[in-house]
Amino acid sequence: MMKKNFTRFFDQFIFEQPLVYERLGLLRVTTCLITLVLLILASYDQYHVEMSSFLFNAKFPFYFFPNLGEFFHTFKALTVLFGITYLIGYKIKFSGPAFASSFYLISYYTSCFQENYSVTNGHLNFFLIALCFAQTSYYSIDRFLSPQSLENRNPFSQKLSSFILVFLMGFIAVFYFQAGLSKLLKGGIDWFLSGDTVFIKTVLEGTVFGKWLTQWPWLFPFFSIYTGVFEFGFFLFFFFPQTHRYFVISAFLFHIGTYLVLGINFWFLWGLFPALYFSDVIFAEKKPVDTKKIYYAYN
Amino acid sequence: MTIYTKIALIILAFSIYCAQLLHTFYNTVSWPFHPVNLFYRKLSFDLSLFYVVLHDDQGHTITVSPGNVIPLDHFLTSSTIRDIYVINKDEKKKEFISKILINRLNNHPWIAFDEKLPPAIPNFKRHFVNLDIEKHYFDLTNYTYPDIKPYLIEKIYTQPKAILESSNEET
Repeated sequence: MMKKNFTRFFDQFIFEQPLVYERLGLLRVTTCLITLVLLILASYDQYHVEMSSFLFNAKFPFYFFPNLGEFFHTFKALTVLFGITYLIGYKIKFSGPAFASSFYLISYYTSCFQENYSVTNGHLNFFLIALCFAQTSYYSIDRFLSPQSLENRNPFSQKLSSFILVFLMGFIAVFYFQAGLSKLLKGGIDWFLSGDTVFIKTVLEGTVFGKWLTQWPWLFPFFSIYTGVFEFGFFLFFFFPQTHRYFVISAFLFHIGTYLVLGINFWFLWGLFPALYFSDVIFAEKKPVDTKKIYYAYN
Repeated sequence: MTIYTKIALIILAFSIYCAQLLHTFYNTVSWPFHPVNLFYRKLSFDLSLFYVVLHDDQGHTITVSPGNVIPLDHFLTSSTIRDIYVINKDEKKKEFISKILINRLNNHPWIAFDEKLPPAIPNFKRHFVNLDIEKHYFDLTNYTYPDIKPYLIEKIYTQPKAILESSNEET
C-alpha cells in the first residue's frame, strides 16, 4: 500500500504539476529576459572581436567552429533578435529552437577564449533547450492570435510539459549540489568548517560591508557552513515539495548574503525561481494550487 | 503517455543530471555540461593576485584589477591575464594584446554591469600609453582590518617602449 502511494506521489509530482502551462509561460518569459539582459549588457562584448585572432581556440565538441571575427556582432544581433521574438512569443515553434541554439553557440564561442573557462550561466542553455519541448505559449502572441491552440492541449503534451518543469526544478537542485560537491572534492570538509576561503575572498575582493565584517573572523566559518548546508540541502529536499518554499527563501537569503559580503548576486539564477517554485503565490487569485492532491498521495 | 515513455523520460533526466555531476567530479567543461566550480579551491592565507599598472601620457600610473582592463566577468579576468602574459611565450602577441586593451580603455570603454567591473578611465585630457602586469603577494595570517598591503610585488610583464610610442600616436 505504502509502495503504491509512493509511486503515485512521484507520478503526480513529475507528470501532474499544477498550473503547468501558466508556469511554463512565465518561465519562458523570465528565461528570455535574463538571457537577453546578459547578451546585451554582460560579457558578450567587442572584446571577442578584437581578441579573436589571438585568443580564439575551438574546443570540444566543435573543433571545426570557425573564428567569427567581425561576424560576432552579426551573430549576436541575430541571437538577440531570436530572443526578442521568443520573449514575445511569436512563432514559438521556430523562435524557441532558434534562440536556444544560437545562444548555445554564442556561449560556446565566448568560452573558447580561455584555457580554463568558468561557467556561471550554463544553466540558461539547459533551460532554453528544455523549454523547446514544452508547451510555453501561455503568455504569447501565438496564443493571442490563435487562442484555441492551447485549449486543444492533449494529455501527452500536458504530462510532457509537467515533466520538463520538474526536470528544470531538479536541475536547479543539481546545480547547487554541484557547487557544494566541487568545494568538497577540491577544498575538503575544511573548506566549510574553517571559513578561510570566504574570509580571504572578502578581505581581497569583498564589498565595503563585507570588509567591515572581517573585524570578526569567527563569523566566517558560520557563513561557510551555511553555504554547505544550503548547497547540499537544496538537493536532498528536492523530493519534498512542502519544503521547496523554505529552501527557495533560504536561497534568496543566501544570495542576498553573498551580494552584501562579496558583491556577487547570481540574479540570473534566482530570477528563475518565481516561475518554478512560487506558482501558488503568483497565480493565487486566478486558480489556487491543489497541493493537498500531491501531499495526500504521499502521506 | 505510457509507463515506458515515463520511464524513458526519467532515465533521460537522470542521465543529464549524472553528466553534470561527472563534470564536477572531473572538473571539466564539455559545453553545455559544466562543473559549477565557483570558489571551490580552499585559499591559503599566503596568496598572490594579478594587478595591471596603467601609465598615462603625463607619467602618472594607476594600479587596477584585471577586471578594470578586460571587459569580461571579473572572475574570468585573472585567468585571462595568466593565459596571455604567463602561459603564452609569444612576445609579439603580448604587445598586440596590450595595445588593444589600452586602445579600448582610451577610446570606447564599456559600461559596468553585474560581474563586469567598470573600466579604468584616464584622467581628464590624458590617455593611457602603456601597461605593466604585476603579481602582488599577500600574507593575511596577521591581517587586521582594514590594513592590506602586499609584502612582495613581482613584475610579470612590462610593455616595450616601441609599442608605447605607436600606441601614443594612435590615441
